[in-house]
Amino acid sequence: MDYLFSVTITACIFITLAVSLNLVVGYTGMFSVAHAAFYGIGSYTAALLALRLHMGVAGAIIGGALLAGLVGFLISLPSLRLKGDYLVVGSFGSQVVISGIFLNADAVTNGALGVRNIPPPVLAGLVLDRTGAFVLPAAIMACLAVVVVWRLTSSPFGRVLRAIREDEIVTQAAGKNVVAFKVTAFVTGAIFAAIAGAFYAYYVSYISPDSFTIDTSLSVLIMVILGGSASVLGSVAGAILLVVVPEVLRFVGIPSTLIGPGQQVILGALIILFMFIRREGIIPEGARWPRVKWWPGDHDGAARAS
Amino acid sequence: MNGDLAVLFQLAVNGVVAGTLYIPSALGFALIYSTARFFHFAHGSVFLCALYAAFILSQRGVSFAIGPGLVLVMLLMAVVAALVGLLMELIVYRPLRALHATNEVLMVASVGLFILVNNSLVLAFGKDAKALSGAEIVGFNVGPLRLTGLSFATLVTGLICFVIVSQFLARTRAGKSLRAYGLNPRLAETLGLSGTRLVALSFIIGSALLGPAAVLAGLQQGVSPSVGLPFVLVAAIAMIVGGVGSVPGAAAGAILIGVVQNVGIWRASSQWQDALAFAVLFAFLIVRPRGFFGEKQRAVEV
Repeated sequence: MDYLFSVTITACIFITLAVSLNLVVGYTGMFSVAHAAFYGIGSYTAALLALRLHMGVAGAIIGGALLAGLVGFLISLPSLRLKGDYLVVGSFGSQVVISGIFLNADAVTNGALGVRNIPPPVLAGLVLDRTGAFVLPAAIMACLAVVVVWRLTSSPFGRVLRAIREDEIVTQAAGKNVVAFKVTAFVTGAIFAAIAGAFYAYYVSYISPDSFTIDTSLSVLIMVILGGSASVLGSVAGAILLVVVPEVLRFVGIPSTLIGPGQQVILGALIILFMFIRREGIIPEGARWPRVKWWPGDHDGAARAS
Repeated sequence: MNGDLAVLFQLAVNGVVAGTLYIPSALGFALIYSTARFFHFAHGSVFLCALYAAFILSQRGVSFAIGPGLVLVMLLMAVVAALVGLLMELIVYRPLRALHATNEVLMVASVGLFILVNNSLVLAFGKDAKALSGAEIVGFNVGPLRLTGLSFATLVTGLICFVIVSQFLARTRAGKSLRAYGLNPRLAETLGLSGTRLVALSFIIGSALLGPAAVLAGLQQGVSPSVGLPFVLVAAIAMIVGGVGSVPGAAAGAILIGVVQNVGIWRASSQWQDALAFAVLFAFLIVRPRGFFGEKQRAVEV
């Protein structure tokens, strides 16, 4: 049972990450590979606040989110002036530099050994110290991310983001402050990643730099693209797919040394395949629930078909 | 000379050597980027394929001692790398382009290729680092400096690659066509140049340059699947720092990164090398986004 719980919680964490990255990559068209850096900042900040300053859950999570938001703001100012390909390399750089800090700033982050013994969170007098206790908070976090991103992107704000993605110059000409919109989207994404990170720190009670590398950033990016960029439900589907399928493979009986790279080989092939046959992802932008045809000649279905 | 300064000077020379090792891959990356106009991350995988091909040769008893034999091995690896790069273009990128893929789609596909190829190599050879046999490192002194035969080979190879690429682009008909296509693809096609062929040509030449680089890198740092990503990233940074579309720029960018990474050891610990490379990138992006010798204005994409 704990196993099922832990898969669910991991899926919720990655749903939060994927949905928030989608705001940046899918809706605004900023190809960022630095998401795991913000995930890590949230995680480390919350862990250190809780461990060293004995802060409560709320304080630690808000602290992590604030710091990630600030770093996101500082990074976004020079990077967002960059177009397309340059932004990829710029965000790659941010990711590598921040990963380097996690790994090498021994005095603060305890280097490669990571931060241990993060105290279990106390929520409304309850100590969350069993795996099962984290399921509900994880689900709430994922739902919150989904609802916020969904509302944001279906508001006029989201329309401007999509306009920026399609044509920055035209959006600027229409009197929108493109930089402000891009920075807002980027910082919002960073804050959600940090919340997921803080949650992760509390959940596993031990964090190390390995969890926040470029590989994690790429995985989340792949969830967004395979799921369907600019599609909230797509990101949810992508995250679930990439978390659950490897778990299933574990039961098929592939030797454990081959499983890691083996999965990656399949994933790489899957990405290329998707670029050929379904570029828009599993659930494309603007997809609606499929209409069920209750009986032949359903007038509603007929009306849509014509 | 003051002892501390001597160390600094030695580090700077080491940096130039490290930088010339980046030159072939930076030139290749820049050549492909300015022709095909997308980030070919799998450039790092092509590099790894050449690296592991060299490892297979070394296991079969081929000597990697510095000498005429090594030149032959480098040329052979250049052929291997060119084939791998061309295959990627023919099997993945060209069909995707035929399906009206945007540059972003091509880049995502190249990330997929990168993951696919690198992990296939891990499956085949394992994750641990290996060494190329027969690489003896002979050191000698030049004035106050300490150099090795390998660093000489690196300098010479980098220089030769640079001369070949710049002369090819400046003097041959194919090279001029490549530059023309890079500057304005539509105009070039209107004038009868075949874009498909030129892109394939850029993949052949750009990838072939990785062959010698892979041999030298294997001798210097050993063979491991984790070196592919830093190699392609440094190539990308060198191109941006030097200015897209400029051959001397890419070479200068490569050397600058090598020097900064090595001189950085003087005061910072070597763990910060990657971060230093990116610090150079950020400084350039903020102060001079078009690099040393970048085109004043990139061709407007219609």
